[in-house]
Amino acid sequence: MKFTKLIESKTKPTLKLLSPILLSAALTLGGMTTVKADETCMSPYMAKIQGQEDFVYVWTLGVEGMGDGQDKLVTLSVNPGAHDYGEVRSFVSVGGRNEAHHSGFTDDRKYLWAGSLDTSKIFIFDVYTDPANPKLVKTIDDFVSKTGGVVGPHTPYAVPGRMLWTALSNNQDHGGRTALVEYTNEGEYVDTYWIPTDEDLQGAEKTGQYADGYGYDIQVLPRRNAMFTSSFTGWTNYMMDFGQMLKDPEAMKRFGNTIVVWDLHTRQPKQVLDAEGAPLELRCAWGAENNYCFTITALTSEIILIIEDGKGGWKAEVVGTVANPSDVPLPVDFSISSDDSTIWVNTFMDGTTRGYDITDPYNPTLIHEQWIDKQVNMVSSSWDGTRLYYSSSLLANWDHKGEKDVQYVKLMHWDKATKAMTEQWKVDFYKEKLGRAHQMRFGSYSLYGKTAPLAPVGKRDEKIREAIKEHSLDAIDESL
Amino acid sequence: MKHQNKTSIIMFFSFILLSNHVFSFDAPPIPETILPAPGYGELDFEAPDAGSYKLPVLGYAQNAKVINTDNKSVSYHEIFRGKYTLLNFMYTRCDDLNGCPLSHIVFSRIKDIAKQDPLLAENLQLISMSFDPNYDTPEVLKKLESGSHDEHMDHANHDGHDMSHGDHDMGHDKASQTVDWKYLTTRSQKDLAPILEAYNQSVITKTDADTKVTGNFSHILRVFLIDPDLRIRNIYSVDFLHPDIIINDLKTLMMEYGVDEKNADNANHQEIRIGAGDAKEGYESKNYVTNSLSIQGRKGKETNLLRFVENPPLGLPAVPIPEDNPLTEEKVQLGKKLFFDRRMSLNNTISCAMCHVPEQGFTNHETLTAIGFEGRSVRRNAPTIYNTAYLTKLFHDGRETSLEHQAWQPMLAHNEMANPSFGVVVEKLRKLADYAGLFEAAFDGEQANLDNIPKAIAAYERTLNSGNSSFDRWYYANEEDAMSASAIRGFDLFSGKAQCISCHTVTEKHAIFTDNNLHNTGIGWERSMKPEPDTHRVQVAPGRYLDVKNSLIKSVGNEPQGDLGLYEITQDPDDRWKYRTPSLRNVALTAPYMHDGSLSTLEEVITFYNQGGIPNKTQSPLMKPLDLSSAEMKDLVAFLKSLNGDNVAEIISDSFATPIGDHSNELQDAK
Repeated sequence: MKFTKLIESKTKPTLKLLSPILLSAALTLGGMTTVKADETCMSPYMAKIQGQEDFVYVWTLGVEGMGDGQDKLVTLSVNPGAHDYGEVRSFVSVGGRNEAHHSGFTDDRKYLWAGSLDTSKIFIFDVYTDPANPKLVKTIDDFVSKTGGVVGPHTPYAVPGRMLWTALSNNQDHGGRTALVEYTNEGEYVDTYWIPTDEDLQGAEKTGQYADGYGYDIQVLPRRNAMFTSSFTGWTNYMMDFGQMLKDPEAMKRFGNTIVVWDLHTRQPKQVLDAEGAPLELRCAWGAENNYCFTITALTSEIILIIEDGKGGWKAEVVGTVANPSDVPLPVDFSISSDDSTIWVNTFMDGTTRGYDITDPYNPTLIHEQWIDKQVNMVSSSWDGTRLYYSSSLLANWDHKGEKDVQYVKLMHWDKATKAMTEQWKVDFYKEKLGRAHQMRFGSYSLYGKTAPLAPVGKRDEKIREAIKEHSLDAIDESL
Repeated sequence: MKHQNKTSIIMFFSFILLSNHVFSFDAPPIPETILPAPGYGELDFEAPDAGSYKLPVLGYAQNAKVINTDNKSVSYHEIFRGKYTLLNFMYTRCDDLNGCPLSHIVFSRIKDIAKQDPLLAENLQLISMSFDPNYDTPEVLKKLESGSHDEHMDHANHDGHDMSHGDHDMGHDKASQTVDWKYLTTRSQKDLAPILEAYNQSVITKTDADTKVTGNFSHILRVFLIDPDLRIRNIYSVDFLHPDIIINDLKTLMMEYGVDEKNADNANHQEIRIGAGDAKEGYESKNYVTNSLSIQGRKGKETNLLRFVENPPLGLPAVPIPEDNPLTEEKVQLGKKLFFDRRMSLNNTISCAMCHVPEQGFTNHETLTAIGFEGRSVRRNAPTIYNTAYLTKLFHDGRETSLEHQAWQPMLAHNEMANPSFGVVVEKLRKLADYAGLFEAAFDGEQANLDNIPKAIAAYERTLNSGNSSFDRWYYANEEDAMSASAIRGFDLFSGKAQCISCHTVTEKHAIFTDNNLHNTGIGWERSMKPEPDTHRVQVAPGRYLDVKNSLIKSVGNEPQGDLGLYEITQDPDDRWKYRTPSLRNVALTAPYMHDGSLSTLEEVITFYNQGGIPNKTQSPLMKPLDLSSAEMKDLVAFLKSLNGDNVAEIISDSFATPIGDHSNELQDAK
């Protein structure tokens, strides 16, 4: 029996009494092979967690009239050994409703940068001094003026010593033409790289019909010196009421249909590829020989493979669809497994997650389908793929209205062997008066060589601690 | 400096000699220990190639109220905006070899180099700001400004001094262009002090051994390079104040701004594409191809908007101007700045121009109805700002009567700019450094207040008068070829069979194409009363559509807000669904149409009227089926397309030249 499971099984009845240090220490001191646990979709330059994640940081949208009404970074305690496992540990309100959206760590993983699509503010949290209680240390509030008119910083992406930000809009017409922006880790603006348009392709090849200049997500394949960006829509659309937009034929013309391939080193665009229907998240394979990425289109529900074309460039091919595209399932976030075998795709409208076997990247095959809740948006996977965290909010004005507007983070366990997915816990963000739960990032004491501060413990817990130090399973059993 | 060549010494002495001749600079004794700075001669190193580097933004060029050599009050921003500016601080009695005389010589050399370069000559200006207002009066400075430099340089050449500078000929070329060199001063030391502080200029009055004021100052030489958006891009001290470096910096900046030969040759006729930069024409088809403009290429040139008021374009009547808000250049400039300032909303995200987008006909092509603060829904389509000077009823429901009254409403509306009070806006503007002095200059010394903020915005809007269209030239100037035959037939229908002219009025001398009245066509009635269909056709990509269940759409949408038009103002049931007659000038540029944006094209509009609108109990009796043939409808569309004013591109270009106001930490906390 694995030591971790032993601990878990033995301690379940007393979870609330144990400090997270027990499990962390157990993993370290027990001489077992450490398990990498991290989102599988972040920058390859990112420091990785060794062991179980301790926290999930949830970048949360404030709701007018609920709680303090502000956007906030909510820290969930997710280490099974923690006294408050599956509960809110802390939160930091940042002031205002800014359309909180994505967040990402610097390459050293000491700081979490959280962007906002409305006010274009970027909030920088120190997550290493006290991982349980992130502290807001800097707010960049002049993103638009510094960048020359870029609006809506969307995805932060760590490159060595720098943070790249995709964005969604601009200050001229609030449409979808936008740019990539680079900052230093210290928060100093470096440069703006506009997404190619017909007027200024910047040397890129327009391979198809479209060069719309739109932006959304970003991923890199350093081994191919390649960087990819996808395309969504501008401020006017992402801020407006979703139902109203669907009935507005002019607004529905303002979605991205492109993927841009960039030279990672020089930040120069190389190719503009067609990808109709708002290609959103990009997920690149991890395997050393797997030189490909996926994206999924929100409006047309197509899985698109981005792969080298054998002629020195890249191509985008539709290799599958998600659910029934005519039902507008609205694929949103998806996660790729660290072994490149599986993607988990969420569809917002029906609140469902679907697993696809992508062992053959040209033929994604549905392996599991499960309803998560009345709406679902983001998914974050542990490195080993057994823990999948789901959250609910898409955009403040795009979320369901009425009884389907549920806001939560929940943990699902996935058993690959039995293909069973089971809910572990759920935090109701409305019940807690927190707001709309959007993106999740993992935190851990072990990243910084730290251990969790000890919670007040009784004599029995002290015995357990001693037993762990002695590496004695029998002693642990005896203590329990 | 490692060495000083002969040329520089000759140049310096030439300067001293000639300074005494035409300037009041005293010939300074040359201390043996002080060598002339590099700016007098050749650079010891090769200046980096233009465009091979970037010039970071070092700060914001603070505004200041100064006087020019005509003794007229002007502001820095008024002068700097849209130009590449070199600004030095000087005084004419300066005797510091490497101080004012150096910057003067370097400016002269740059001016002569620029004369040979049309791009530089067109875009560069030199500004010398005196910090000795007691001595450097406008009259004293006028002598410098009125051509003395040219005399000086001519003299030098005639005397045979070696004034050459690399490949640049310092002599005159009759074909060369002039470069503006303005001299500025202040009325008093009190006016000067905040300017010196804003530009970090330390100026200390020198005294002699008996503590008697000598008339000289101790100061640090700093010359500022300011870009057309009022940002400081370089600050030169003695060691780097050299024409080679500065010229390449200027060229680098101009490359950043995309200024090229074509623009210089065609500066007043810059190509402006009218329509959304993110063009979606043909998106309905699978054959759609993008035709997108770049964001950074959206550049324009400022124009004199007041002339569209003083001499309204052909076809427009005299512009009504309220007695209590006379138009001035300062007021129009200020109003324009406010109009494009996203900081005018509570969270710094929405300006007037975000819904009234200049290249989109001062409307918004991208949604049927406007989207406001935090994405909140506005019930109605953003109307155009063109020719609003002539409207006596504003908003689609006609609830306001003047542009001055109108301007506050969007600023305070919960679903538009969402400012919680007048006071919040007033206080915010008073604290923004880039507004320092602007209200005072426009409103006889008044700070920003409840009354003058909307007046400034109204002043700008009142200049956006657009006429002299093909129709105007045909109808009012008797230019027979100005309109196509189809458009002429269209006008006959417009004023005859179709009777559009009943509401979109045209008179013998001018046409504003609106009766300034409100009517019920049926559009509003249908929106309120007609049951929703079970499905909606939703476009998901070019040429790709899905029929989406209404129940699904409702699950992610708020209930639409009711809209009863004029009834909401009068409470008279007969006024339900009445909306203001819009002007038709520039109508081809202002899609989508009707108060709710529900008709996408002019063809759809004509079809709607041809069928008599949508009958309902309070529909206007003027609405009836027109029985137009398809050919006649095409002619009507051709006529409507002949109503585009000839100054639209110029007005758009002017708005592109206006910086968009965004939050910047450098602009906070004006003193």
